[in-house]
Amino acid sequence: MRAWNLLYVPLVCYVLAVSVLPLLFLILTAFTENDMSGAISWDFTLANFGELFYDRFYIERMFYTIGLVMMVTLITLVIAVPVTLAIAQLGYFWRTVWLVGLFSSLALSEVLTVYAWQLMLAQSSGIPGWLQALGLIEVTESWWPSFPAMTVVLVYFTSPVAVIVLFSPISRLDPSLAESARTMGYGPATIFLRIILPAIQEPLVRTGLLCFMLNIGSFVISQQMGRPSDWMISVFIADFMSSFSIPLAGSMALMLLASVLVCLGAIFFMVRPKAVAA
Amino acid sequence: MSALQVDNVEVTIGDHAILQCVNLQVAPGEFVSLLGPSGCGKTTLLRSIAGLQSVSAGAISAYGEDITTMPTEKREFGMVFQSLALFSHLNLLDNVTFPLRRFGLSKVERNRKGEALLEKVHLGGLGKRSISQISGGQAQRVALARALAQEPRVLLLDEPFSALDAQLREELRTEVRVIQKELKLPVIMVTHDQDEALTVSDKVGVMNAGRIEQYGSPDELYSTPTSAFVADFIGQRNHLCCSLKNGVLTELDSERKVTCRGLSSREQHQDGVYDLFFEPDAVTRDGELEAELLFHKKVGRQQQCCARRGDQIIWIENIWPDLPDQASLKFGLDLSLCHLFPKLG
Repeated sequence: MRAWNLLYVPLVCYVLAVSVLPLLFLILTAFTENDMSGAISWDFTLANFGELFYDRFYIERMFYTIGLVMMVTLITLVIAVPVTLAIAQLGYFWRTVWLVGLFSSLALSEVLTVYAWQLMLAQSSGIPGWLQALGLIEVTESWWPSFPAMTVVLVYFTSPVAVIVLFSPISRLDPSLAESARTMGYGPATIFLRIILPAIQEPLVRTGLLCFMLNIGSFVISQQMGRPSDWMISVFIADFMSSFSIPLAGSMALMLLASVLVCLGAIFFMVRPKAVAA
Repeated sequence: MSALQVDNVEVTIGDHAILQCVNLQVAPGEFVSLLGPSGCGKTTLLRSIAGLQSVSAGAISAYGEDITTMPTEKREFGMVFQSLALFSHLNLLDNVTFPLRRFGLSKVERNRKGEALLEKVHLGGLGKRSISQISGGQAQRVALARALAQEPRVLLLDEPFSALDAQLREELRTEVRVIQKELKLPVIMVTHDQDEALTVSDKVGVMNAGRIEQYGSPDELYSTPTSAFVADFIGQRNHLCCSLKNGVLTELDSERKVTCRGLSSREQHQDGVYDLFFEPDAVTRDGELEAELLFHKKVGRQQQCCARRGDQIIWIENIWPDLPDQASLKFGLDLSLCHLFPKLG
């Protein structure tokens, strides 16, 4: 080993400490006995997983969470791509205004975002109240907690991230790609679907994965904006942790992690570059 | 009927006039080059013709039909972009057949046509390759095949060879010319390369500051440039600033005679200050002009000298026998091989 390679040792140790150790701890606790007092006995057991699979509730919540987050990711991308294309075509000033605005929205914590949306969707003070005052609709209750409210806030939370991540590849997109398709007789819809989207396929997948990761562990938005029947798996994990069932929470988190890895693997497999005959 | 006619076209962006009163006429089967320095408006003119840039005034028509406000997608013009704009998610064959998808042809028919086009540009059998697996010259050929696929009414080329090395440029421009002649296709090519424009074109439009300074055959432009800019840009780069007084032409700075004989009646001009452009073979041994020889070498069948005059480098024919490596040259100019233009400003 060359001497300068030793410089990497502290960095490697740091990475191990902040990423591998917590994961290792999670895996270990998932296989330990559940002591309801909160103490962990380090005897190996599969009982936690047995408890999770005892009825279908947690498994259903798991698939519900993954399905919901996939839907939220899809909606986010459907919104983010045209918005980013529009921002990329703006002049320097307005483009900067938009990007600063998006970055500012990221500065708000999940809690503040949720609080703002709760106010906006409240029966009397928010949008429903205004619409009722204008005589457009009849409102009998707040629009939150509800599944649509939770979905909207999840999309709101990840959309700025998606736009910011997509902005760089989209702004680097060669404008003559679309122009050349126009000279071939194609209209905007065909150009968008057949030229622009395939051209940004890779960044689109990367952005989708990032949005998926950001939302899969969403706790505050799910718990505050959704009804108990809408809650995502992270709410139940947190619930187990607060009730000192840490090994059970660990096994649930591990199961979520495994499911997410399977999903990501499947996505990578589906969108891998096609082999081309030379 | 013209394949394409541009009448008094102007393009203004903000307060800046990009094109000013541009006129151009392209006959069917004619190869026209738009030549000029960067920023002269040649690409804007090409984009206006393609419909990618709206014009502020004037009219554009194709085969007698007014297309000034017609959307790009309806003009049926093929275009090769400077960046080539190949679709990297498609292989070569799919790139070439992409324009054919809207014609309702079966995939077999499209592929058959695509293969034929790839064959035409010497890429037969490479249709399954991806864009990342081909060289710059091959990419150029794919872009050309794709532009030809839709059988365009006019083919537009925006500096198509600018990213290639000299040898490949020469090879490809010849191929383009051969294909163009075979298909009898009107072509408008934008270039800043004089050699390229003069060797492949039937007509050349020399552009400067948003205007076409001169439009004519390469021979006309070379032998009878109508302005100092055209003479300079077309390649007669040896330049003198002269003063004409009582029929005697002298260099402005040194006051040395440019030629020992007076101007003939054909060469008569009013007294004043002139820009004089001369070709290497315009030098004579009877004159008072001086230059410091830097080196001499054989260029083709000609012996040429590279010499310095003040801060200017000139290329002149070697008419001196047994010239040493360093010498002071004394020469005059045969005015029949020179071009005189009144100095502006």
